[in-house]
Amino acid sequence: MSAPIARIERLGCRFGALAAVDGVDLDIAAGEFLALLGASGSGKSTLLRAIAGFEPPAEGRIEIDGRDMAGVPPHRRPVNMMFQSYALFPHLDVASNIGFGLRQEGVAAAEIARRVDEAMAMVAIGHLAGRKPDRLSGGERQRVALMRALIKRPMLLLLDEPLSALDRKLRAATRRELAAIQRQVGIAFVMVTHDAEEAIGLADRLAVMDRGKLLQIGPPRQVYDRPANRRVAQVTGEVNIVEGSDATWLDLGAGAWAIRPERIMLGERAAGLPRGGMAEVVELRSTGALWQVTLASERGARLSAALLSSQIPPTPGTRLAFGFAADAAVPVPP
Amino acid sequence: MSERGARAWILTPVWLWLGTLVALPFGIVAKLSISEQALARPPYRPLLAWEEGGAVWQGTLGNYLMLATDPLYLRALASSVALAAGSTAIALLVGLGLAQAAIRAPLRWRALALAAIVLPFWTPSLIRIYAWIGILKPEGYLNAALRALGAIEQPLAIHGSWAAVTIGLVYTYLPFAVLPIYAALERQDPALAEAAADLGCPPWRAFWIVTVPAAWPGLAVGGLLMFCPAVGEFVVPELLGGPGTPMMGRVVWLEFFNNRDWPLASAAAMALVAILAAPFLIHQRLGARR
Amino acid sequence: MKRGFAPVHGVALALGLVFLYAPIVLLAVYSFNESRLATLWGGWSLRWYRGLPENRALIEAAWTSLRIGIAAATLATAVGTLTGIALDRLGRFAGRWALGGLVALPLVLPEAILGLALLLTFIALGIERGQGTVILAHAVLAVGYVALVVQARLALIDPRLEEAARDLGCPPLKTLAVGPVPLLWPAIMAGWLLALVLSLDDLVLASFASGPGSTTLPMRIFSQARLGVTPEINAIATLLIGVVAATVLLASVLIKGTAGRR
Repeated sequence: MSAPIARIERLGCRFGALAAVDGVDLDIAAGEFLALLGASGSGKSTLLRAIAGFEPPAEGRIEIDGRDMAGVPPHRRPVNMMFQSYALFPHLDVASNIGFGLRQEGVAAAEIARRVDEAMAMVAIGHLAGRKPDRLSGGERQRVALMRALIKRPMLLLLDEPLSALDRKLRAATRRELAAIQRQVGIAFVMVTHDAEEAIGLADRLAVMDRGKLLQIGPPRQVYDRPANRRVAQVTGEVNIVEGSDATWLDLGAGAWAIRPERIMLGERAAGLPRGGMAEVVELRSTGALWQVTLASERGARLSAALLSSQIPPTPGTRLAFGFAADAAVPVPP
Repeated sequence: MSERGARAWILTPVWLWLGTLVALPFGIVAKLSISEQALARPPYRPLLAWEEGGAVWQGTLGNYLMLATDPLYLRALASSVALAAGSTAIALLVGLGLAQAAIRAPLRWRALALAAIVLPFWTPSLIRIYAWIGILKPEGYLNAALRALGAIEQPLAIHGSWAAVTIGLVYTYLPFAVLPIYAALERQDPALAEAAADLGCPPWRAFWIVTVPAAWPGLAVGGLLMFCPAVGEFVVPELLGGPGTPMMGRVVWLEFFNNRDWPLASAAAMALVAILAAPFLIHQRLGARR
Repeated sequence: MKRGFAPVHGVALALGLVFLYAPIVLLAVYSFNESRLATLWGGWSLRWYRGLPENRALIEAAWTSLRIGIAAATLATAVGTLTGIALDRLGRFAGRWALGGLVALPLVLPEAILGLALLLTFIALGIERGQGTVILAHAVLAVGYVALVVQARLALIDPRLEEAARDLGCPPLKTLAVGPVPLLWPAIMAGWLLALVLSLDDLVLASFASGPGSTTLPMRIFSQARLGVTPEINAIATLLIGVVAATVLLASVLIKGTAGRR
């Protein structure tokens, strides 16, 4: 990792007695795409707002580009934010919204016009320059908000749930576009999201937060495959948590274990795998792309497995063999 | 009962009420405004007279001509508009300050602040205007206080001046300005002001170039709601104003009660309505453009 | 979401409240002044209040105002509630636009114009002027406010409630009675109170519409206030403000209580 562009040390934010952010240490590298993943109330948005300067930290420090940000108001910080609601100014048209930040800096009008045109061309919204926000579609608004925040070329772009206001189909396309833009401009992005798939699909590094604490940070696949604890395993995707007598049933040691459903193999595919056994298929459901199979041991322990739709699903009510690789079960302390 | 029947039960009384007590009166004023005054009971000539050979049109635009040419009426018209517009502008500014302050207050104080702002307006406006006489008159509390502080030697002649009328209008109609502004500001996404700050705009500037313009619909409604009654106000100029502050509401009153010139009073009323139509049309125009 | 309450907001709020309350407080304090001179403090006294019960004209005007207010508020609430329902629940009908305009007209017209127009109408229709005409005039003004309050509240009530009632076999008019109207009670009560306050507050409409025997309290106060500030008016004004403020506070507590129970 190259030299960090922002350093966050032992940061804490409080709302009354509640510690919204609690002792967070985090370095952000130049040009990286960092995703902050967590359930609502995990403190991820508060952390983002603290970096932008909207939440005063109760303790710790934030340093951006080598400068301590304590006491620096939001309008003097070298970071920009894309708001969850987009917060487009309703009385200004698209071009004026995008150029707003440059006007605050006193950039010459001709220069503003040039850079606004460039920004609009980048996301193909040049034809919308004269429109007011209330006459834009959701996807168009999202692009205006992104470009308005990017045009000042901040050290750090903060994105608060940037895709949550879009419908599912648009979200996939916008996700690709966002990744492409990030690579093109080379600015470090910090994105807050509650959608694990989105975070893993976009980020270079994934940070998982829960109850104000930063639980784990690392490359997305690593966090997904080797969650440090139970909460990380749950927040990053579907997971079976196996513990106590169920763990003995599966020949795992004491403690709790996390097994992703897609790592559990069924029928002949289970042959030769070091862990597993026999179980009854109690439920079979299709999500379209996947089969979700619920297995039950004789003693009632449940496991869910996932297999691709192209495979032949097992019949509910039958007993069959299942198995998984030794590294599919990860010990997860509570 | 059928759907139609239910509608009729609701709509018939409503139409009957609005027809006889709103539409008809308006028509009668319009009709009277083009009638001629007469020494009779009622004190005007009918529009159509039956003489030999049929009906004779007796309508006249003389009342309007009188309003448009007599400097006395023109001055009243101009000063009504100026006083109403000026006090509306001041009330909008005061309203913005109060509404913004109330909204920024901690949540449990917010409702209380708003209630405190609105409560005085439930009390009789006549009394609240009357209370200002005691403050503004030459031997009133304000002059007494200023004199005690040594700020002035001669009492200020505020009572009877345009300043007194402006204060009275602002005081009387402030809630009409505050409530729509408050509603507009409260509906506003708080992220708007944050976005402005995030893009490098200091708070004071952000308030003027983002918060206020984004609340424009509320400001427009508040301004209209205040300007319209204020322009025809009677009690404020009567109690706080003087010869220098003629207003059309008083003209209508005086022409009717003192001069018994019903047609001229009606024409003055119609002229006022015409003045009021202008801001409405502008508002609708602006609304359509959005 | 946290929004900063800066010192500037506190100062603005404080200044605003001083502007709003100082006149009322001064008026109230000086109504207890022993001295007849308005600005000279002569010690605390109740002498101006003691004189009030003997002022027969004032007492009579107060009763007249109250009678007119209650009648006008009740009439306006009935018509205004129907109007609010018509505007929010009847969908599109011929003349809806005109109806909306006519309802709003008395709200934005200066009172002097409305008063003149109503008086000319009463004369044209040969209606004898008296308490009845003042009641009508006040109701005309208040209908708009009641309709506004009712309409705003109706807009918050899910129309599917009525659809559910219809679906379960309820006829149209009864649907309104069992569906939204019970939920509307707080709005109807608020509208009635607003109408009462408007009536008690009004001087201009009453002056135009009144005849013999219908001199209202504001008319009586106004004819005296024109002549200048006197401790007697201060006393009656303070009394009135106290009564109105107490009524409004009580009503808002009651309405909040009703709303809270639902």
